[in-house]
Amino acid sequence: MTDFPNPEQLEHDVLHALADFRGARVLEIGAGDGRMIRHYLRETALTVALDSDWDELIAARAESLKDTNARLAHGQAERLPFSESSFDLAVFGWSL
Amino acid sequence: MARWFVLDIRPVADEPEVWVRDRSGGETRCGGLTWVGDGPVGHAQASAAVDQILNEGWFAAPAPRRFEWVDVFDDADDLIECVSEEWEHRSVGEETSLRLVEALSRAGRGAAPFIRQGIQAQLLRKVRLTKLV
Repeated sequence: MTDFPNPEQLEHDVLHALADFRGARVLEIGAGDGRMIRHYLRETALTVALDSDWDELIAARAESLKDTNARLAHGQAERLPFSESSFDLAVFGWSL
Repeated sequence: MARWFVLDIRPVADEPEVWVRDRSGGETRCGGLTWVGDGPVGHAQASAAVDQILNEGWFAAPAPRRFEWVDVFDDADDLIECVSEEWEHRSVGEETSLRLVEALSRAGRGAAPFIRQGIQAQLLRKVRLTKLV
């Protein structure tokens, strides 16, 4: 059977074609289990994973973001728990 | 210089479809996934919100980029179970399930069911910091 293209690689390529993550302060809103953050985490100056679901954040820390320097935050997009201009880039990764 | 961007990446509404690929690469479309609950409303609201901030001049953005996301499954049960457990706003309808089973049966050994969906990604650049009165 013909192989399918790797969707994770396609996603990675598109993200990097669109945005420059190098040295950026990035907030991912609705980060879920942190899967997508792994595409860019190593390039950023700061990465914060925000989600309203504690279980997702716990899963992120235990799996996708284990042993990384990503910070986790509990909150909602409508009321961000950060001061203005804290980030260069906000990512909605499959969360809008 | 400060940079303010929003990167919006999400599935394109109305597009996830169930397919079967046989050993020689031939594909059969079995049908789309059915919306569940308020999924369509949420998608429409998100798109409307993005359109609004672009139309009002808060952000500027080039056309979205699109790519195809394919999830491959072991068999029909695997696909249906995955959608049921992991897809919050979708389900495999009865007609699609029947066509899936039939297509797998026709395709024979080595066939694989899969879900194909479009994903779009767009980088929005903030161009206005305060609302003009």
